[in-house]
Amino acid sequence: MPTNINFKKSLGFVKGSSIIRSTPGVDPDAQAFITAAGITNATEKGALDVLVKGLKTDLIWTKMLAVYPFVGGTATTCKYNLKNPADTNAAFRLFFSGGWTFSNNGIQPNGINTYANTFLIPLTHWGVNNGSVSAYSRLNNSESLSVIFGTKGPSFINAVYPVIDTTFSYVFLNGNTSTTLPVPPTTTALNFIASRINPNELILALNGATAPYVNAPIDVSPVSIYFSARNNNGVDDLHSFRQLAFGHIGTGLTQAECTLLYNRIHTFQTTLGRANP
Amino acid sequence: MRKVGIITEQQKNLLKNQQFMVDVYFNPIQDLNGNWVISKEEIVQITNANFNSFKTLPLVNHQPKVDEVYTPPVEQGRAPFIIKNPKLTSTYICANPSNGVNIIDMEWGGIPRPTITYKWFQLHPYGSDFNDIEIGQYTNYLQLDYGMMETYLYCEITATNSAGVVAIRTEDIYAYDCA
Repeated sequence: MPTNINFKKSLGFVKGSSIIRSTPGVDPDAQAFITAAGITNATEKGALDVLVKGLKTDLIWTKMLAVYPFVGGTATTCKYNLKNPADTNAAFRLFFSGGWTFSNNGIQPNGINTYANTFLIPLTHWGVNNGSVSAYSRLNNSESLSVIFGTKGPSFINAVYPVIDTTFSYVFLNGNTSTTLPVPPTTTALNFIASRINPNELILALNGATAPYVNAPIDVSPVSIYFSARNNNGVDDLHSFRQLAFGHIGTGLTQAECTLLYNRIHTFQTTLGRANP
Repeated sequence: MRKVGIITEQQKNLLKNQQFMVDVYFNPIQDLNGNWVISKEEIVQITNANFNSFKTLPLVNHQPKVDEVYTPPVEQGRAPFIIKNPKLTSTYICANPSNGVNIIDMEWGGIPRPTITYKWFQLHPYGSDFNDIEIGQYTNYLQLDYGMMETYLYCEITATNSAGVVAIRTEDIYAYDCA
């Protein structure tokens, strides 16, 4: 039966128009990142598309403030925030400082003077009971007292950082009381997620094993979060040499959401051939 | 040993936050002896022609400054929690002494690491109004015998650490008569 609707006109498919085209079916947020970062590799493009769609399906995309997929193999491709791929500090585009090296496996700090400033300040974007942060570290498990992300103000009351060690690991998230972590793996990659969604409870996930811990928050850091080092009230220290292949900062995630995020990250790394295992 | 190049304070002021390659910036730091240094990775990757003179900086072993002392962490215990539920190698088995059932694939979390104990029971034949019968086996392996014919069996698994005690129960196993 005729509908009397002019589909060509109503959908805007006008010959010769300058409508911005994206690859059919690719998520527009993934496409925006691919365009901004100049990603050309088909596998990476596909993995990014699947990642964004998956995070949206899991309803955690809106809880992400910054997502760093670390693809493309250069500082320029790795600096962009998947959530907002603008080349500005306000968009949480990374600022790489020190002797970094870049490859298709991610970003490699040197453990001497490297850090990546996110410009994302917990005091501005988190609540004392509402924040999450994670990193996927491929290598190097031999590092002791590894700080793969971190921030703290003038005192420890708003500290946010894990100290990952082969024998004894602990984490701070919005407070000066640490929580001991299960012993991390020594021969595989390490994905660590820390989240807070309510008072007195910290949710931690090591390679998908997620659990709540009793831990009360105190304050929120007034300085930005760094990856691969701690922002110690404006000075980088505790530099790590673990290679990173993913990072995120967001609002608080539930225990179930931490598991969903881990699964998406792991699928992403597997697709790129850089999961370990 | 990681390598660095020593620079002067004046050079430090010149290099700080300047791009040495696209989208990556110098970050001079002080070493243990108070010398300003930049890393080998910065030196060998310089593509900004303004800093070509630093490409020939001699490399020396890095002597890192000790960063701020960590605040001693306060340990907080966590009661045992199940990560992977136990599985049984069989839930329907002939009650013959040559047979047995193992508990497999079980994983617990908790701080400190919990200790696990096992206690096997037979469901009371007269129903739930009666206490189940402890059969005197205390490992993750159940040895069948003819006396278990046509009964249901299960294991009570208890995880204990200083933060708490948690007990769970496996599925039931039916031991059938195959005499």
